[in-house]
Amino acid sequence: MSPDTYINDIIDAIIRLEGDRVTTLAVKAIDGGVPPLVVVNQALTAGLRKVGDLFADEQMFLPELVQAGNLVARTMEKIKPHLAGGQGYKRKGLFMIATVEGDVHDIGKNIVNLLLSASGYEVIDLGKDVPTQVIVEKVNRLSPDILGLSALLSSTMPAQQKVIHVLEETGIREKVKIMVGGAPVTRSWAEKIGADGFAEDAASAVKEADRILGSG
Amino acid sequence: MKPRIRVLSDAECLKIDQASRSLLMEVGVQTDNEEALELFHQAGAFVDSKSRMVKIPSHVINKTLAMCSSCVRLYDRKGGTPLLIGGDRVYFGTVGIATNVLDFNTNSYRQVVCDDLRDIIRLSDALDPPDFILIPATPTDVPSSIVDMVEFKYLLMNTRKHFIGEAQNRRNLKKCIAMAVEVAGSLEEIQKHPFFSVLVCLTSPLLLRTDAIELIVETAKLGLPLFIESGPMSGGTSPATLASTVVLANAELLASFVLAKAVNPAAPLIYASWARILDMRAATVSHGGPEFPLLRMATTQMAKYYGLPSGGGGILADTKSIDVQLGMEKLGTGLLPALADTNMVVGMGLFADENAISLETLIIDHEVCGWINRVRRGIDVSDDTTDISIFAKVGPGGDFVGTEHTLQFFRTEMFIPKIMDRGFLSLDKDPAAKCMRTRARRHFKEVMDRYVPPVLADSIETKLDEIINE
Repeated sequence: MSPDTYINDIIDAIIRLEGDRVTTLAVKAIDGGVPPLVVVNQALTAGLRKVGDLFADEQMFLPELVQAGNLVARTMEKIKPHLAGGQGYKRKGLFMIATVEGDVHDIGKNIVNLLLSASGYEVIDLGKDVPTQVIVEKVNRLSPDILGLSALLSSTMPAQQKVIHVLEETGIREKVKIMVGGAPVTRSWAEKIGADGFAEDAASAVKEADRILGSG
Repeated sequence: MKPRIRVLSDAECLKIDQASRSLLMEVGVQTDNEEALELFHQAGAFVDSKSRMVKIPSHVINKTLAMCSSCVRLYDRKGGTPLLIGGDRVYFGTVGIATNVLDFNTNSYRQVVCDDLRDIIRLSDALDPPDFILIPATPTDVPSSIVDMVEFKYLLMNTRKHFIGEAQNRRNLKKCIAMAVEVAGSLEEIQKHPFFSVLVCLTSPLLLRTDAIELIVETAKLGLPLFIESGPMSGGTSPATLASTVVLANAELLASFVLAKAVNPAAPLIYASWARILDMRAATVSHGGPEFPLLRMATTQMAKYYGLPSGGGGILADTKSIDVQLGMEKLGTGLLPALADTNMVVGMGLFADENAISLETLIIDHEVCGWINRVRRGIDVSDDTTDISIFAKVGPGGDFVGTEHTLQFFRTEMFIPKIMDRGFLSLDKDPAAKCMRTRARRHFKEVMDRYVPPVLADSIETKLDEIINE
């Protein structure tokens, strides 16, 4: 099979949520000489982007989006050894994500997490209701490229502002780009609190992250 | 269990039955039509040739009801399984005597022309529901003497779903049937698998007009299905009490059934009603108020009381624009009859009393029907749907979004709207960008882009025109 055939088949299998077929095809493609990086970028990431587009277009649904993310993540795990072989594969960046203090809603954040991982980011998920101080310490210690702060309640949105404030006070605000999201969050809020990025859903979170890091 | 509603107790149904029988015996129905007087006489009714009053004794009604089937099969030209009209099945259809259309492009009212009729029938053909198509509009650009036949032709040419046609007299009905024969190949084929029914609208109170009689006689003779509607208006053409309005509608329908069965005991009959109220401020009929679904549920229950297939108006609206009132009226007058198991709910697309139709309202009504059908299915409680192993898999504090279990069930357990605006509030975006009307318009284009209309040979169209113009 030609590389294009592999790529198209993998994308098709991702859209059909045929997890085993995705993995089998990816392994076969690499064994057949398709560069692993091509498999990741042009097949797995592209397939997931397609799923994201279909989701945005209301043709695919949340459980399917998550399934697609899961199955691509599983395939990535499987082909990791090939990527480690110094063939030019590099993670897009380190993305640290958390639902802010006082807020226990994390379904949306988990989906963002999944899509980011599947599209090539290394993701550190700090969980939900994460105290501001913990977030700041982790940023200081692990130096992520982007910090994503999720808040689902208008009452917990100020915690996003507080994280940025404390990062500034600690003098490490410039070390990290900050993205905010969550149902009540708007672009104007993001601008007001001095965040670097904003996304209204998981698919656009990936695009926004790519934009911020200039890798889109 | 499935959510269902009744508005009449068994004792109340019996009381209405008794009152209708008394009405038919003590007052009777009137007709100037000799053929009908003779048929009623043969059926055992008392006919006064001078006053032209027909009084129908109870045993004649019993005999008629004994000849009725609890189920009418409505076929289509797709060769699929027929719609089984009766019992607890509910189907939604279009309806329309509307002569006005809210133009899709200009958003202003204008008169319906043949192209509108074609577009509305095709959209009805593309969407599902409508499960069947009752002639959805009346074009004004053809002479009124042939408009019924033109409508029939447009139905034959633009849908293969079951349709309900109308005709203004025997002569035109015969021509309509001749057109159907052209398409089907033979009359026998139509009789075996009737892909259309004939609409009959009765006149309240208690008057049997010749045109209605001709349609009943001619259709019954051929054994084709009759969709007979009685639509008395409370306070106008029937007494102001809703109960009396049901008594009257029921009596008129029973009388028409006696006539049809006197012609042919095998005639398939559907008991349908538009019993409604006269609005005492606007001096016009209202289809969007609470009385309308109450009356529909009551007439449906009377049909069921006799074991008859039922139908009637629903998903209707008085409002003159696509607005908040439209949503309220459409859902109320659609949901309640559907929960009473009205077998054929007709109203999709119609609004502005009965005066206007639009492609947008048809799309909106399609969504309303989907919403209603989901409610009708109720909550499925079984071993499968209460299996606790999924809780163990996810564990406390987890989420179910990405599980196989969710993937397996979400499409059947949840109604997936096509045009309802959901999602969170984007303060920095135009709130109207995703509003239902905008989405309805977008969905219309998606539906029609995919749609392939039925194709009839040009020679058939020529033949149909010849029949109309004979």
